[in-house]
Amino acid sequence: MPDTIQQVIDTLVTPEVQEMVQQSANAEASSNTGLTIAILGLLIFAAHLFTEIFSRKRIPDVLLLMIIGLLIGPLFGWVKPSDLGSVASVFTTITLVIILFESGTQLNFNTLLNSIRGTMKLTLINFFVTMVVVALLGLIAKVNFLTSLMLGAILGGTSSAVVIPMVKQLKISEKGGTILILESAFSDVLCIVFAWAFMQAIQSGSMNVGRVIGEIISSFILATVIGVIASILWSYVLDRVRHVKNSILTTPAFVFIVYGLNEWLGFSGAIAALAFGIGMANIDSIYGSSTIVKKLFKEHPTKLNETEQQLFSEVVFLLKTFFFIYIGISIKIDQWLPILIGLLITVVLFVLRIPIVKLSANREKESILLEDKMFMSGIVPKGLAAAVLATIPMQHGIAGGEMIQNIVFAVILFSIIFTSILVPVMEKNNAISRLYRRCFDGKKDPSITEMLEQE
Amino acid sequence: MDSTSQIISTGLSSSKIGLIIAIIGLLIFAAHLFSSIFSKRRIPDVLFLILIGLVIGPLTHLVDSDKLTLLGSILSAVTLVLILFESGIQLSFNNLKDSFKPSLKLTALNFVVSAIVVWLVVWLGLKVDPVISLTMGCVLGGTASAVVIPTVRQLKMSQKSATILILEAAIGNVFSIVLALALLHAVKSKHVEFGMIFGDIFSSFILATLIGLLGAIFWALILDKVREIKYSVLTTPAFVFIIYGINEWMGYSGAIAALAFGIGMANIDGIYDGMLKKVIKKRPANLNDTERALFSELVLLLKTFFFVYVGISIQLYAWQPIVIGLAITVLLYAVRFPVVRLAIQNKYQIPTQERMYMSVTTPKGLTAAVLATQAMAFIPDVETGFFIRNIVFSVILFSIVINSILIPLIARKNKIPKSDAGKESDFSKVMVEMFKDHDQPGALNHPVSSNSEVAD
Repeated sequence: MPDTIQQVIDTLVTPEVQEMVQQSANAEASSNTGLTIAILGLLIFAAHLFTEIFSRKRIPDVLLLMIIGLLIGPLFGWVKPSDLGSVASVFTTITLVIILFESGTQLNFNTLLNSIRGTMKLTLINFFVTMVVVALLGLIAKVNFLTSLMLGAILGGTSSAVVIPMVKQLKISEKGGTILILESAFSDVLCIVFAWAFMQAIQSGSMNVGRVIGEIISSFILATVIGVIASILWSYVLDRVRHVKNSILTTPAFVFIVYGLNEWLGFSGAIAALAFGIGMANIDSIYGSSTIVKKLFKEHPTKLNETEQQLFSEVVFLLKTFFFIYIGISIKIDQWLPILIGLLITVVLFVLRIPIVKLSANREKESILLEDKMFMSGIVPKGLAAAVLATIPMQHGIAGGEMIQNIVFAVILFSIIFTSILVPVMEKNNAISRLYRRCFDGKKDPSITEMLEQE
Repeated sequence: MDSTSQIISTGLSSSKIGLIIAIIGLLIFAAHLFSSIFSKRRIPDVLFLILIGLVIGPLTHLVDSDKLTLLGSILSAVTLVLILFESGIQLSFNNLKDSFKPSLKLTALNFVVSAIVVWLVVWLGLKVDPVISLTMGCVLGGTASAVVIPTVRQLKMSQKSATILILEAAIGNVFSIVLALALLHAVKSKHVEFGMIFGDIFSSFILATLIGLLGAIFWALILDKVREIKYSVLTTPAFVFIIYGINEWMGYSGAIAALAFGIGMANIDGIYDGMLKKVIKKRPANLNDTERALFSELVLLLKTFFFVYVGISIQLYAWQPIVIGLAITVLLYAVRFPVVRLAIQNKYQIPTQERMYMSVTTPKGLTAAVLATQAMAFIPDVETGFFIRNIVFSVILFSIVINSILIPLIARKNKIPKSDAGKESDFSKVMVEMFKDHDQPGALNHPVSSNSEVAD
């Protein structure tokens, strides 16, 4: 060994040499990068193919993407969640933020006002009924009551990342679609605040109800206010930003900052991202109706243009593709008990959803279409918020934390699969769709065909 | 699901993720700020981005590069493919014809001289095995497309000079990969197969170019149908990824194929009129403005995170490899001047200013890093492999930094208003002197972007 190298080696410590050996093992992986890149390209084409399959055969693309993830992840072991490291949680959050923002840019104030009452009822009833029923199931299984309530709170919402792409592909009315999108955004806040409150109660032995309500209100209201104010500010600088080359992606970059700011302040970043999108879409109405904005700014604000909207839709499509594959990759299939409990809870939640939708939609002044109600009762997927919350009990050393985590992950998987299967089934005339139709009492509710006939 | 275990192992709470998301947003704004700093002060944005990476990576350990290994290599490859493709769609055949010869000369000369310099330094100076030393020379013989292309475009060089440098990076890349891997196999098998090396270089170039061009023709013929699908703009890069992957899998140069695909797409009308008209009746489609704008947005985004990642992933444990790396970098820049002078002769009519830029543009990057990492698996003596990798990482860092520092020094020559003419840097004066006898009268003050349309 030459002296010079020996000197250098003397300065090295053992862990570094170990790291080097690890790196040389990775060298083989890096030679496979070409194949990985080709697979990434193929996946984008596959995603388009799956969308086409969905529009023809009604087999949801979401399900097919998840199956790909299951195949390359837990089944064949080509990709492990640990390979992706902490980047995965950043990626899922980016997907959430962009999907919420982009869906916000397609909501107008009139539809929102029209849907907000129905949304609030559906969100609240679904959340509390889910929480109580899961808690009761927990009591039967002799689990601590507060822990069961916490599990219920974690599972009380729906996932924006699944609901929004699904709603966009369905023949659902604008009102029905908006209710589902808003439910998915609002319920995240309830899940987060209640799950945290129960966890603190488990740790400290007491629960401050006033504080919980205060947190919910501040999280909602302040996140909305920050999101809308940010959209007004952005629409005033957008014109100038456009002079900078390659600046389209600064809009999502700004949404990221708004999201991060809200999370840092303890408000809901997701609600803020949605509010930002809604603000951008309705900037003309905000300018027209707000005297403060008119006084502050003399110029008319700038709206997002078609190229920008097109680019955001493209990005959403791309992120959605990899998000669902990632969900498939990260499913754990080696423990059967939590999977079975998860399956049971999912079945209960889907059955419960029918009376919940009936209760929340029946007394609406403007009735909701029968088909919409059927879709609403079939779309109860759990996702990112539940996954993140599920990890916290174990992090805080709460008894049964690992079990909670595995159950929640199983529910996430089954709820997405159920949603994916139920939605296309409901569109056709079969036993399940007839059963759902009967549950919603077709006589009182107009169906699309009846409405068309009347017209 | 197992995302839990990651969140637990990495300790990422939702507020921490929120912070990371906000930082990503800020980085995109910072990238635009750095871009504007470049256009005012000529300090390349690459330098700032690498510095950010260095600060959040090796210096403060906020981000641990070990956890990014797999995604980092994918990000690097995706960035490389898109940068090459996107630069290809701006190159015309006419320009390629003009630039190919000088580029090949520059690439070969620079590669050979750089490889010899590194070989001698490592072999004779550090007493490392001569074949391993020569491998290092080959690893460091090329230049990095991912650094060269953005730099060349920001400098608004003439199309001809830009093409020379872009081609140099792409071709040098192939030389590096084929020769370094052949030598590494020689280390193991104890003999060198010259026939195989030439065969590899030939197939890597020709077949990759052919596959790239055929891919472009095929894609241009179906593009108008693809456009009927919703959200299909990104299928073009997706197709380039497949072309790249197929080439790499077959052992050809994916990078050359991606570049050839871009060139094919840009010149599809010429290809059709020249060759395909008789065979195919359907006229192929060209990329439209929206698609081009989107690719260019993506390149900016990827470039930003790629350079931050480069900063994060530079691992320098001991000071010796750092110093040796710095010394080698200085030598590589020193030999670059005569190399450019010899290769880019008067007859090619390249303005002095641009030849000066060429002589300070020899950054090393992705290929060198990957080859150095691969070298460790081939070299039986693990410590030597580790030592070599760290020197290469050090050269990558310093070659990019020196490139970033020299460019504004040269730019001061022609960009400063007349009243400030006295501020012309000493370095710039020396450079002008070095290239003076090669110039035609008046070429010194040749406007930077007047030669033809800019590469941008």
